[in-house]
Amino acid sequence: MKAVWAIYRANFREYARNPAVLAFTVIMPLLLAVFLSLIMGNQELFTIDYYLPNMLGISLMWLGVFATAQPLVEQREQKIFRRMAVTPLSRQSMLWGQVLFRVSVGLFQAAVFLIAGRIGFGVRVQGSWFLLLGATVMGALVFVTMGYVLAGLARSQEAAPVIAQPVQMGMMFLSSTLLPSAMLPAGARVVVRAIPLTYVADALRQTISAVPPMFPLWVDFAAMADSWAFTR
Amino acid sequence: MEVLNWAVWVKDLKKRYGDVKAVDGISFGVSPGEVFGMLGPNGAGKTTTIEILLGLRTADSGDVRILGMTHPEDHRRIASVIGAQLQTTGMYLTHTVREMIQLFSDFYSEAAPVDELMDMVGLCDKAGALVKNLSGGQRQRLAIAIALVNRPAVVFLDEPTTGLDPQARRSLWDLIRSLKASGTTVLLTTHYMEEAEQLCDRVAIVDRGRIVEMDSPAALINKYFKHIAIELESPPGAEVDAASLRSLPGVANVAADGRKVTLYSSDVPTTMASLLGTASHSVKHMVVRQATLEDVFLKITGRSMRQ
Repeated sequence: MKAVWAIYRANFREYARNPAVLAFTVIMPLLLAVFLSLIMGNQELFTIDYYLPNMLGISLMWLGVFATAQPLVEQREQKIFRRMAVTPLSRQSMLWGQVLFRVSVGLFQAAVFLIAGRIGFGVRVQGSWFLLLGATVMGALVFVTMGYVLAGLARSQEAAPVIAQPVQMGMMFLSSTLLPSAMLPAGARVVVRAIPLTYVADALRQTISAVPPMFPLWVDFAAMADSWAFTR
Repeated sequence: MEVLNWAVWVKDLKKRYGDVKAVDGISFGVSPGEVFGMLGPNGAGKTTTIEILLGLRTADSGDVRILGMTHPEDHRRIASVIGAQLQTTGMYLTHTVREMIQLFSDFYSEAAPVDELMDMVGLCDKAGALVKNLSGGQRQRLAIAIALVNRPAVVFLDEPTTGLDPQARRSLWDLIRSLKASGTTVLLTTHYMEEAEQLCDRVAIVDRGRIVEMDSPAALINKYFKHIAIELESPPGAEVDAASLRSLPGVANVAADGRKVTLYSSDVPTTMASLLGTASHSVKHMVVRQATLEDVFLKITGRSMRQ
């Protein structure tokens, strides 16, 4: 337990002391939510109620890219894990510490979004708090797991963004988080259904702001569980 | 001695990377409380051997025991009683010195106080400095502090003084001596002959994946050099003929390395007298000294360590 907590704290320190990662996981998506709702807000459906949960979904995805894949590759190049392999620290403790830390960041992101939405735009959580918590944790797990897969694929620090960027850009545009899927050509709408971010964002929209669902909530959770199990 | 009684015991270890035989049949034993040095140039197989001993690599063949235990079965038990300083230090860059030591302390059930460890390696004034702002030598000392967090019974130090300034090197030597005084077994690698002579009870000279000689530094020097070394450096264009020096009185052996020629003499005054008589015009610089491990290495392998 002591070792899990030590890994948890160490990861948190590295995260909190890196302004770029903080910006990508919290500030940028929040600003995007504000800008997009200001630009699109004259159309009925595209208010802050639509974009706040969507951008929380994107921030969870960026948790997977910028706070999981990227630091993992860097730490691997620093040979930190190799050094830890010469201590009694078990692989399970190391993984638990890391994953718990990343889920906490996901919850922190959700808290910041909800507080900012409440203060700035009067957004109140419409659905169940319990389901919102579940959607956040599941969403974080999905993207953190994808982050581990990306880190495994990337051979070097330089290769990490080359692999990660197309994945996250594609998900952003094809998941109906920036623009509704109705605006996409029919062929692309099939892809929408294959993207985890679609379900994460849909679940967050339903629980935070009661935007008309794309899928029933249980489908969202099932899809998240499925993509988590698949990437794991 | 029984296998189980050695602190570290290695038998016929082999490891190859493609066509390269990195370790080509290494065997040795380190007794408890001993400071044992592996000495050799880069690429001799020292680091690969250490990494196999730590369980970071698997050998192609051969047998390894650390305090009677072996990898991978006893990996965690071994890990809890040894300490290691690797060539790449492996640290979180935005952690402070204190946080980094504390982090590793938390991996063990019992650990030395962080302040004591920082004091041992002289990093107390850097306690709050971030790892990324440390100099190479400071990082190296931090890595050594981390190797000692669990008060290990056996410490592995892979080129511990590389990158240290002379003063820091001296204080690390003192630290290693105090580890020895407290009964800790130390296995270190180095390519500094002086270091091995100063610190080690026994030295294994490693070259091209094999141990070419193994004994105490004094015994090695005594075995190979009962003679005094006379180093000559000739000016460019007026090289001394090394072969002709061999016939001078008292000269037992001659080793040439570029413009530098070393004579090993059993009778220095006689050798000097005739040397100055015959070759004084082609001598720019001359030193008379005791033979060192460097000479032993040159004699055994035919190559200088710095090549």
